[in-house]
Amino acid sequence: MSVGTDVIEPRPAVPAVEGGRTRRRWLNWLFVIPAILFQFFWGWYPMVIAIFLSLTNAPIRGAVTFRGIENYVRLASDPLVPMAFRVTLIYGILSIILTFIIPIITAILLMEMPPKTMRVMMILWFLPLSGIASTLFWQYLYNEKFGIFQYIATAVLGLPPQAFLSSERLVLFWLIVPGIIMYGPGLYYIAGLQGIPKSYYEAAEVEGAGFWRKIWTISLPRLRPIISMTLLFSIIGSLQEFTFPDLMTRGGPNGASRTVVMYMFTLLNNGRIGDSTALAVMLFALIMVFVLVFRLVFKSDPDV
Amino acid sequence: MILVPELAGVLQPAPRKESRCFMSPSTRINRRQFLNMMAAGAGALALSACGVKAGDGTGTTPGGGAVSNVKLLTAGWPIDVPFANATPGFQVGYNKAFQAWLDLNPGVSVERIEFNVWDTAGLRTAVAGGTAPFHYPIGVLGGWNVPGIQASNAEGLFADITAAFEKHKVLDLLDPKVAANSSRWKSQDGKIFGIPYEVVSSEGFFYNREHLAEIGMDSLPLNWKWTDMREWALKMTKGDRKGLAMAAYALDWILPTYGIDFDGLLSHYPVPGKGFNWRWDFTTFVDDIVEGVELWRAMNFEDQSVYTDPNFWDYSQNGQLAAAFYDGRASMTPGIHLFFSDMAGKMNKTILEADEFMGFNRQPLGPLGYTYQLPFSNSAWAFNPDLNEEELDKAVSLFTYMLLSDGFVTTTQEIYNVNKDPSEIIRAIRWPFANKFSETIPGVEGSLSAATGKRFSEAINTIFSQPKQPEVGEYVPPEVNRGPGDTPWYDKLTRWGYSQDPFDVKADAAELENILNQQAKTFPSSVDPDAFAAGINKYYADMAAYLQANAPEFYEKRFIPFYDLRIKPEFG
Repeated sequence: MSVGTDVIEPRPAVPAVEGGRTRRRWLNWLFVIPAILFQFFWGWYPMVIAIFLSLTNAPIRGAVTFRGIENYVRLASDPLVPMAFRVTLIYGILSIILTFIIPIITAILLMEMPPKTMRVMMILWFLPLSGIASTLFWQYLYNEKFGIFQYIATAVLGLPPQAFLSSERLVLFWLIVPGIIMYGPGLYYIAGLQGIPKSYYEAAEVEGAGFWRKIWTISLPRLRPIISMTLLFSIIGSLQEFTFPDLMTRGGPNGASRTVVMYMFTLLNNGRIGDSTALAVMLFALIMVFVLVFRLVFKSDPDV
Repeated sequence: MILVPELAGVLQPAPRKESRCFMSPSTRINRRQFLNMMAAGAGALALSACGVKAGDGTGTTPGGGAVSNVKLLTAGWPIDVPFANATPGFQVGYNKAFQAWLDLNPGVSVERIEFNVWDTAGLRTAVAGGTAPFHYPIGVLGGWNVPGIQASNAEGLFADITAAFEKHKVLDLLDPKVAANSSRWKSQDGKIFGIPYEVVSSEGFFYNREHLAEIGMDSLPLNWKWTDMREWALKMTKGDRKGLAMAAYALDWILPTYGIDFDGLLSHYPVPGKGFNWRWDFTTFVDDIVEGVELWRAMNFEDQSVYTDPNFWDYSQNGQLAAAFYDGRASMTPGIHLFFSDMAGKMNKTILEADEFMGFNRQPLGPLGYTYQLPFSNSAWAFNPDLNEEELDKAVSLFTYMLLSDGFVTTTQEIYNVNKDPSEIIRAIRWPFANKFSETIPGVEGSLSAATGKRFSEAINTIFSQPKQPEVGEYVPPEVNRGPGDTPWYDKLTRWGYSQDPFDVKADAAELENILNQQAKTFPSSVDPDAFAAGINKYYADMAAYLQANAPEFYEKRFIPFYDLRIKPEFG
């Protein structure tokens, strides 16, 4: 069709269009169904079952007895439950501050470095470290008697011996520190930053924008979709934290690092499956509240 | 008994306080969980090291006849499929024995599945879902204590094997001491739900004889106390060497000897008819808690005689504590007697050389002569409740044959024939055995206890022959409604043991008491109050008699006041 003519090309025959659309629709479903089934069996079904079990005695074998909100009432009067939620929230907030914001800054600064340096840093960030092995390694670093951190604190910095993981006040902070190094959302940010056309920055420079101005008006807004996604994952992940504190401290000292999921697991191992699932449902509700608030408050579209 | 030397790492957690974690079969970070985790990893490793291959997968039965068509699934231990490319000794012996059983039982096949029977949550799920192997350790689901095991049985997690047990005359195959100690495999109404597999000492300490000789001692006395431990550990501390290597559970060993524990004799008491049947009291004898905490912290922080850390959970023969012991950086290290032969292997010593190098003793007593420890207990194995009658019969038959009777003899004879040294049997199978062959085995020359090492075997026999104190789980009906777990108790132990923040033990003890009692109020009980009261009455009567005979000072100064305060008013 050439521009400027009044000739209107005839539409394709309607039956052909319908047939094509139908086929496309089928194809679409064909590709989507495995994901839906997967989500159904591994996500929604367990979720519904968990909600159901949380209202029962949840025996391992034998008849299931409906108990209403008895499990929830029991958890509500268990002093360890609010304690675990408090620890989880503090851990989540600290974790987001330290392992989410710092990598953004680092990524932006890295972009200003020579490409070779940047590549090396990316490799370091993306090293395929084993989570468990790293955790054990950190356990030794923190050891109060022969750990290298104690050596640095006492022999190098001249400080008194530090308690590290034995300090109830600071244990959560020390647990999060390895995440700054091990957790690598910085890689996503670098990828996002690399996707921003250079012409944006060049145009800004022509207009006289400085380093900070470019970050504020170009880099951060353009990173917003990535920030939004990783922040959401960070919130969910930190509220579900289990492995690292469990391996490092087993929740101690005095329960100061016991998260909700750790307590859930303890209840499960104690054979209190109903209580454990009730706690899981409570955590699920809390996470959903956070996610909803986040979705309402945080706009991921950079052009909004 | 352990059938493979490497499997010495796959140990059953020690039978320390029997009623630990009253209604909870397994609790958060106690030593058992650690041991289970150890076992989980070590099992696969050990079996692969032994050349075990699921390989052909089945021990298919030759011949025909009255074919049963039974297939048993095993997670690989202690009953496994035959070794592929078996090496002379244990492996060949095991294969011979296995084949002999298959010949007697046509139509039965055994198939190896990938499953970790030491993972509590995994095993619980498998039993619930009907995918569990044919046998698994009772303690994993039962929390290694009598109340938990009995409760798990009442929940239907273990098959009732009474008929097969009687048919195969299992009782006659057991060591009499083991047979008499049935609370971990027999219900109060006489039904059998497990078969003893190993005899396990309570936790104790291995010590370096040479280091002990340096302070003028030949061996640790049976009735030593924690104050002795402090004194001798300090004396043996020299340069970089520490007198003691100790796991983070130190206070969980010390305080119970004062009668204070999550389920300690003096710190928890029965209250029938008020929902959950138990309440906690950590304030009446709080001065004892203070004393115990001060003793440990003095050893750790003042004497500097202990190699320890709040993250040292591993006190197995494979852990960092044992490593310090092996290379002389520590003079004593915690463990259970089952570690002995594996420790010898770790140090490249023969069994007899290991006996010269190290000794073993039970834990020290409390200041008033009380110990919460049992002399020994039986680690028993349960059978899958989804097996039908015929499958159960074959499963019990196989288990019994291989571990308690002819198959055991065939296996050990083969080891002896290859090595001409009975101590190689001890290296392969942990001694003493639950069967009747701990002293002699047909076709094997010499005494097994002598082959274990004179001093070690004497120490073990002495420990095992101590009087057994009553276990409350043997007296009261099983409680299937789980009560509070021991999480709050361990919270306080981690603070008291290692925290460098200021804390007040007395305030903590009161808080601990409040938390547990607050939790307890929300739990119902499944037990009939009258039956509970009857059992409790008998339990405390027997306990009083035991204490009078074995810990008279503790009886006078602690038990009587406790009894007058907590038991008499409720039970008259």
